[in-house]
Amino acid sequence: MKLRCLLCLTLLLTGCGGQFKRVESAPVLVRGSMEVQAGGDWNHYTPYGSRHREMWTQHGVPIDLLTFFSGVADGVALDDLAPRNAKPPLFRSSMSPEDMVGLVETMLAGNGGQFQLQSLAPDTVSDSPGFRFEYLYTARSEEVERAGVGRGAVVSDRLYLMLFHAPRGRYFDRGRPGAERLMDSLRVVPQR
Amino acid sequence: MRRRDLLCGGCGGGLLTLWPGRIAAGPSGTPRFARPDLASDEGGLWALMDREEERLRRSRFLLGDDALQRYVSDIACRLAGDHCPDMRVYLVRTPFFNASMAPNGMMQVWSGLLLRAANEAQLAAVLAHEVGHYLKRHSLERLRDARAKSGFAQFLGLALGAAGAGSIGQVAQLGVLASVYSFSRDHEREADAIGLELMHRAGYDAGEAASVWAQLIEENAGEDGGGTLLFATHPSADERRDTLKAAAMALTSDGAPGEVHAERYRAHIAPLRLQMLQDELRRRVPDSSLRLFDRLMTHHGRDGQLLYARAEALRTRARDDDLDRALAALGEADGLPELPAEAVRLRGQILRSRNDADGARNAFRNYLELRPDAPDAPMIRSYIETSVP
Repeated sequence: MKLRCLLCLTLLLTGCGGQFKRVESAPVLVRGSMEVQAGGDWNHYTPYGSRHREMWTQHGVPIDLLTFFSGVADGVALDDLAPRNAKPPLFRSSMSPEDMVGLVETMLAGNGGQFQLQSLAPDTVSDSPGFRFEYLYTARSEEVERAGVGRGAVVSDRLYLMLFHAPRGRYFDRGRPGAERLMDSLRVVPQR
Repeated sequence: MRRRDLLCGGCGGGLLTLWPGRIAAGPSGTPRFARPDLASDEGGLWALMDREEERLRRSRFLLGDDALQRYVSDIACRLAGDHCPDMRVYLVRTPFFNASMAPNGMMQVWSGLLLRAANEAQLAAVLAHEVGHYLKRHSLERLRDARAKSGFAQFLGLALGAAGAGSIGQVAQLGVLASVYSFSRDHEREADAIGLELMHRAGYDAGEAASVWAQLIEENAGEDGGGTLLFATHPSADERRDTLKAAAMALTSDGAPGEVHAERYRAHIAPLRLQMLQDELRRRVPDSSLRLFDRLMTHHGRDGQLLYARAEALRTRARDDDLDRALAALGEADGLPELPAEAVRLRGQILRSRNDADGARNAFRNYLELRPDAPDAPMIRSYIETSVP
């Protein structure tokens, strides 16, 4: 009950116009191309207007947020919810992991926030060569420092990326293990 | 930073009292403002600004460079004259061109302005303009007008936004804010005239005020915006530049043109310039960034940091022969002072994208020698270890 109240309050405060729904069962196919084994109490939301994004949270968006970017096509902005006049940078399938982390950096902090890369290393994501990174960031509008971990890979010229972030410290430390287990379970079902 | 510095910059100790009973005339004959009655709309606005200032004081976005803080506060104080004790300057890390001054004397100077100003006189021109708005209490007038039109809730929002604070103070919303809160043309002209006078009296070359506008117009060219979104709503930028130029010529016709202080300005922003350049690069708007970097090179010279920033922007854009030009910039930067380790990595990234395995490997090795504990070292090592890029 508390969780639901918090989630409702969160939605009101963040102005999200859509509706979060409970993630019912595992495995779950996210936006038709990212299959994960969902453990724990997750709620999911598909932002209106996004071509490839889905957001999951356990305790409310400000507390913990797992975002899936499912099959971002070459020439499409990772941040496809940015204001039209913002002209967000485009994903290119030839990009290096540093460049793709750069897209995340610009999405989270390009508009005056702070971003600090903590680590970037090769990784295997859904049996494909990929990358894993950790970061800290602070949005200019709220000044709360958040810690994040991301895993991604380019499969058949499309980017599959997961980001989990939460306020640095207790919330991130509490949410990270579950998020990482979920990331570990990812299986990409490439789009045609 | 000492609170003493924060309150008054380099002013004398005798001016430290925040709200003294003595009210002296300001540089343009404006008496210092006493704290308004809390029950008045102006008093309420001041209280609101005080609260936001308290939040700003704790902000993690403050630049935190004491020497730079004192330097900019000193410039503001010289311009404000007797109003100096009523002003508190805050340097805020945000990669856009802006300064603002709230009715209670809280002045914000954003790092994007510090990066873009070519010299001390240009910074002084912007600060003097803001002091001009403050002396004429334009914000109060504008907010009263807005309140009459749009109700109290929006009034509060506008007030917070004007201070660069509160939920409406998000940078993403500043474009909207600017269109709503922008001063009238008459206010801008008045602030320009006062600012020019203050600059001149403080011994600066008033001609630099027009140069600021010329630079903003150039950087803002095209559809990519640039770092000057607050000025996007200001009408007739060309006309304003020309008016300022003519007014400055009239002011200086009877004597020396005044000081520019380019060298000492560069020295003061030097410790934070690489961070400012990286904040600009993070925006990933390479066209306007390239115009900015090219202009800075004409003012500051072609040093390692600027050549690196130029190369990074070219790689981000990656159009036509941009990668060749990026490599040329990095080649020019070789051996120059202030070349960041990121420039070495950048060379490796470009060569790797061109399937030059040996060249990339050498560059990456050099990078790891310079930054063995870099956060991306594991990824870079993997590039070195794989024979095929």
